[in-house]
Amino acid sequence: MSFQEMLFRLEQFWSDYGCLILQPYDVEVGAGTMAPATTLRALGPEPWYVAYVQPSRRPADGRYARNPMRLQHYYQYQVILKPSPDDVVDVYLESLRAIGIEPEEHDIRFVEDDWEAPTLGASGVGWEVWLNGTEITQFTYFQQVGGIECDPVCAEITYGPERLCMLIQKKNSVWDLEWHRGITYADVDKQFELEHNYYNFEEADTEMLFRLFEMYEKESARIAERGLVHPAFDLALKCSHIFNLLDARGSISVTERASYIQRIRALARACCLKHLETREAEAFPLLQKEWQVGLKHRAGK
Amino acid sequence: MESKERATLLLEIGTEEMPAGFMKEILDQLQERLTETLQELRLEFGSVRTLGTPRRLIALAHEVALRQPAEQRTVRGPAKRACFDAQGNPTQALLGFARSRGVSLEQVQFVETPQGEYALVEEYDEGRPAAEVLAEALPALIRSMTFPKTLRWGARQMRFGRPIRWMVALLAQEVIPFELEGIRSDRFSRGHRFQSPEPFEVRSPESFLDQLRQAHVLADPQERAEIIQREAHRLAESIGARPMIEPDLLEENVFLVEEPHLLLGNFPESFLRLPAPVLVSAMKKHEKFFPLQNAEGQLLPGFISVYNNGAPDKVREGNEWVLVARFNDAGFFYDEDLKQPLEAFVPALGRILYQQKLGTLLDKVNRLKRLADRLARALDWDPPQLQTLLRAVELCKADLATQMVMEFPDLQGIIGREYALKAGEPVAVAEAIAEHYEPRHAGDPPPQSQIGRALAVLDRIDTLVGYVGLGYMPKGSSDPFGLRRATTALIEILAEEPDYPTLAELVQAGHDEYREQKVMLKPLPALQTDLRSLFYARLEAYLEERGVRYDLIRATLGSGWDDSVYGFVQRALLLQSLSDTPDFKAITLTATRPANILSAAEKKQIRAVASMNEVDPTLFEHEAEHQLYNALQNATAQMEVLYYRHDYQAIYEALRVIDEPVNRLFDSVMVMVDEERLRQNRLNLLACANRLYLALADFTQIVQE
Repeated sequence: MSFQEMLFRLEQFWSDYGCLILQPYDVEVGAGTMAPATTLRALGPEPWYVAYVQPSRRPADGRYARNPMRLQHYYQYQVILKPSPDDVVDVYLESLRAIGIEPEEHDIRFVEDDWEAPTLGASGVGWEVWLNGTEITQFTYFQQVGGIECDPVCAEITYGPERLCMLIQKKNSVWDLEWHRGITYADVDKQFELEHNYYNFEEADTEMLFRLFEMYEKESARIAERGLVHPAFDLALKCSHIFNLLDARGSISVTERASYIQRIRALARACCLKHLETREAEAFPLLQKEWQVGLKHRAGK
Repeated sequence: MESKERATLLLEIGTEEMPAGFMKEILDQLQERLTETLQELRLEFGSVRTLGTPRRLIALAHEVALRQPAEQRTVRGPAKRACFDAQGNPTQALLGFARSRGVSLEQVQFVETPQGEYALVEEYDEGRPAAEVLAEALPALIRSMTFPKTLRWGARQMRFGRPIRWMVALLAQEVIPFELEGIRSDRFSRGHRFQSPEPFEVRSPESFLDQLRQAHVLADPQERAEIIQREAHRLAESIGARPMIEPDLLEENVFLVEEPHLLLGNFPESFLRLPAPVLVSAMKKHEKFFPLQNAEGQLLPGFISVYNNGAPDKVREGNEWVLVARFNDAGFFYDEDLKQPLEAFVPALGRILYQQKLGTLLDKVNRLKRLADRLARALDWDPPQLQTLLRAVELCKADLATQMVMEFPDLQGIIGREYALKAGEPVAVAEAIAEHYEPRHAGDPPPQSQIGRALAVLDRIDTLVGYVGLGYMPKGSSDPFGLRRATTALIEILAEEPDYPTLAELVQAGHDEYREQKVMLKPLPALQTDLRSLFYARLEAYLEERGVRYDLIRATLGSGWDDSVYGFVQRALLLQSLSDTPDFKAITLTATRPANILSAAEKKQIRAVASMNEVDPTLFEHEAEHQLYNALQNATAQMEVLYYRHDYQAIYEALRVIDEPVNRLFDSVMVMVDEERLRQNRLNLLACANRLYLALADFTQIVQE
């Protein structure tokens, strides 16, 4: 199974389940959680069932493409189910079957791992899911986003597609993964990875980045105030990415660190509050829609 | 209606996978809560047992009465004067009381009590069926359970350790019906998630555990633990190895599986080039495997894995794959880290926060350097010793900036030693880097080398002064920064160091260095008070562990001419060894005499001065005064020398010499005379004697049979 085939199968599974399949979000994010389809939509009473691939950037995790498992740019497969269905764990296990992992034949474990994203003011309770000892998924019941309680609670299922595919293809390095028909992950991504590593660690103009941070921060706060939640949130994400870049450059002293995180959290929180207000003013439109979700819908196909 | 019938009660709370670390406490809690509930419901029962796996909490109560016993009781209502108005008509108070008890007004009686006349109702409670009262009580019991961390899930408002997915509640064969936010109790349980996923009907509480066993669930944690241990040893012995099974790791594994299976895996021998602690940590912390060693304690290229499900070959293949990936990762970090010498990591410490207000790790290292300099001077070390210590200080935190320690935080110090040796640092420096975190766990020995001990002491003094100086005193069971542990470690080291400065001196030095860096801590006197109470509490525990009687510990901690830990420990051990001798009993009796008279005088606002200069021999009227004065003069000079040599045995001998003159004075001289100058002079003389006793112990604390 090639990397892209595996992703197709996940898409198909969650589509059959009843999720909307979204396309990757087009602002740099550190994780699928930070895309507005998760951060903003996790709040409020409206149901929300979506799945999407999300390219994720974590500049400090770069290893100049020399480490078999660590990259500054990789993918997440993100699923949000709100409210979390009672059979959510069974559904998740079924999704593994869809990519050729028969749960009965393996040792699948749910190992406590609570999650926290300080820049989003978000936290959740859940597990890392182990397949024969390898972490393949992060499974979280969101409790808070933007410092606001989630009610109802959504389940977030975040697959690590590279890791999963390494197991499926029995490869020891991410670079050897077959993307499709003999073309490898290295063929696709290695130059990208290397150049970004040099940029992140050695070249990034930190003065420019500091200036950009201030500009984006100011703009985000200004337009959030005017009710333009999504542009404001995009700018908050930009601040977050710039902060990560500065951090990778070692340009943020430890004492400043906490205050930067606090500043980003304030932007994100403002967006979250505004978003809820806006949805409420619209009487939470998705409450009116009938979602047809569940394994039975899949079986009936 | 009285029923002697008994039956077994079963409660199973089916959840998604509960954190292994919660389970032990939760099962104890469930047992307690159910016991309390049954008592509150007045239901007689035999015993309550709890069992569990990651997916279920089970309580079995045996011989539960099927009915509450009948009971005759008197219920008191409002006072009679509140029951009728001026016209003699019943008030709301009376009507309400009658209504609430379900009786007519005629059935309400009035009875005289010591507090006046009151309304009363005689009630006969025939007792209700157990199933009925349990159906009301069990939801509250489940809701009342507490966890280290809880969550909400779906659209529900309740909180629990993990989502509840089913509940079985049976009394005998009958379901105890109740509901928690849409989750209903019934008789359907579930087996192993993968091997027996279909719900099954529980035939009876008695058959439940067997039915679970059929469904591949071993509910009893004890049984799972035994299987894991037995199998681990068997598998290891099959290749002549021994499994390294720590109790915590065993318990974690017990609560990660519903049915334990074990396998023996291997990894390529080439990884043995990596430091053994790295390999062990990757196996235990990351994968929860048991590492293997040979009879000589050397690590072998294999492991034992406990698993919950799966085809053994597939699980083994996966386990081996992930371990190789982990080791490759570690090997990558190892090779990357070793591209530069350990000292190259020191500047990066300026970017790692030690504590928000206490600065970076580099700030800490700089404080430690100055403290090291002061300590070396206090200990009269020669320049090469000081140089070694300073080098160790310089490098002691450097490994915290390495990739390896970021990946394996529990290897701090151990990696530092490894890298220091690779960089050609002196062995004494390398050892001290590893040792300065010792003792790492309760019961471990303190550092062996002189340099390591010095570094360990200074690091902890800096930590304690910093955190307590910011107001973080450990409270109750909460000690998030491990300050108690740090204090105990400090005591264990200092107990063997006669020449080290006293606690007060060490604390002051630590405080000075923070001030030098302009870090605001609480003022020194308040800090000394806080730290003294922390130290004394730990010293008490330490001495108790070393077998010193409690009153002797009090006597030790309430005395002494300074607060040297070595002194406290030596004096306490000496008192313990002497405590049964007749001489000691005699000296205890004598020593309490001046102490008692001084404290009686103090109550009358008469304060004595414990200085020989404040005693005027020309005011003596009795031979006994002269004799005691001479004895004290000899003893004082002698004891001051002995004290700073920590020669407490000799001090004890010196105190025995003044025993007789003290007693003679009390027997022949009236101390509390009216003449003020005479009285003050005698009290001062006794205060000098008392001061000498206090060099060894506060004898008034000692319990005499």
